[in-house]
Amino acid sequence: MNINNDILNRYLDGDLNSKEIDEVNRALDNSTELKKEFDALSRIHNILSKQQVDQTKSDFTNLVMLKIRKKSKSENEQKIFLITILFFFGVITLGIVGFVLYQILSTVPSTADSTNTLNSLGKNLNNFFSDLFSKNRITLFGSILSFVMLVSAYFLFEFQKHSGKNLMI
Amino acid sequence: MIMKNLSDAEIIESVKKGNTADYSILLDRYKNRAFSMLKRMLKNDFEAEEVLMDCFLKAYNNLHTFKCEAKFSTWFYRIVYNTALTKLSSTKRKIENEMSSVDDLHFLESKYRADELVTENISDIIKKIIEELPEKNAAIITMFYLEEMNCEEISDVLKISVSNVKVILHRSRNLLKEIIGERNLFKEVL
Repeated sequence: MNINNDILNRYLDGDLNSKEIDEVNRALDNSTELKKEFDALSRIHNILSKQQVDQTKSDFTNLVMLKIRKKSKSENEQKIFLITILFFFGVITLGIVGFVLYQILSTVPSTADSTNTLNSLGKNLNNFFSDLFSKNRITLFGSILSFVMLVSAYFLFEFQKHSGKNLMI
Repeated sequence: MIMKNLSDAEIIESVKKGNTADYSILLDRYKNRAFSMLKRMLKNDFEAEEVLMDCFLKAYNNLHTFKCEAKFSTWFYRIVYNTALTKLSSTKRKIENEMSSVDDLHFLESKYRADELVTENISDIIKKIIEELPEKNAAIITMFYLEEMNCEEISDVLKISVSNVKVILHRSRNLLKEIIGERNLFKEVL
């Protein structure tokens, strides 16, 4: 076996079998040059083994935990914000649906039989939506919706900016 | 005190259940060793601490994806290593991963020669020399000697073969030997 630098490194790491170890031992006994090279490698290995761990700043753990807590808080605030927005839209939707139903039911004659009532409801529903999305009202309807979305987007942007600042230490 | 004796997996389970404060035990357990690795890879204390903070936040945010069958240390050091590489590439300070001879280390010339090291101790000299190695070599040396990880674990972290880890480890030792020889530091260090 040719005893080269790689074999010496493997010898140092305990990666050789007993037969190879014997061969290396013999080679080290017979060659001063090889022994010198192995001693240098062995010393490097020993010094590296005795290296000391570097220390972070004393408040490092607190800083990281503070960031984590701020992030969790910010995530909770985001959840609350989204729930509020959804609740807001939900209330508006319910209001619209309620208003539509009220408008339809208020126009149905109370004495009519069930078939006529259904027909009448269908017609009224059709008339109501035709009226709601008519040329005159669709512009107003779209404007209100756009305004609500713009206001929500502004608050969302402000909230995100605030959350971002919270994460900076 | 009782919490400090818990295994990594037990602490992670506790954090997943909502005990965020328990994460500080993991932080204390790994911060200094990961910092040592980052310092040797990034060669800058301030950046090392900044990246380490980023790594702990990343690990916390992705803790739900961590499966306890694997070792937390391997998973965490992979985050540390990859984040360090990203940092290096973003600051355009990445240097050659592989160096075949000490002649490539031209940037090391005239640094830390024997006569300049009268006041420094051996440990500091070695630290400085390791910091000058390519980042992959520095990471492997740190994981092998400081973290006492075996070659299989290191190969898991770096996503390279075990034989490659061994080759880089051997090459790093030889590089250190050559650097010390080049600078006439054998008497001081060895």
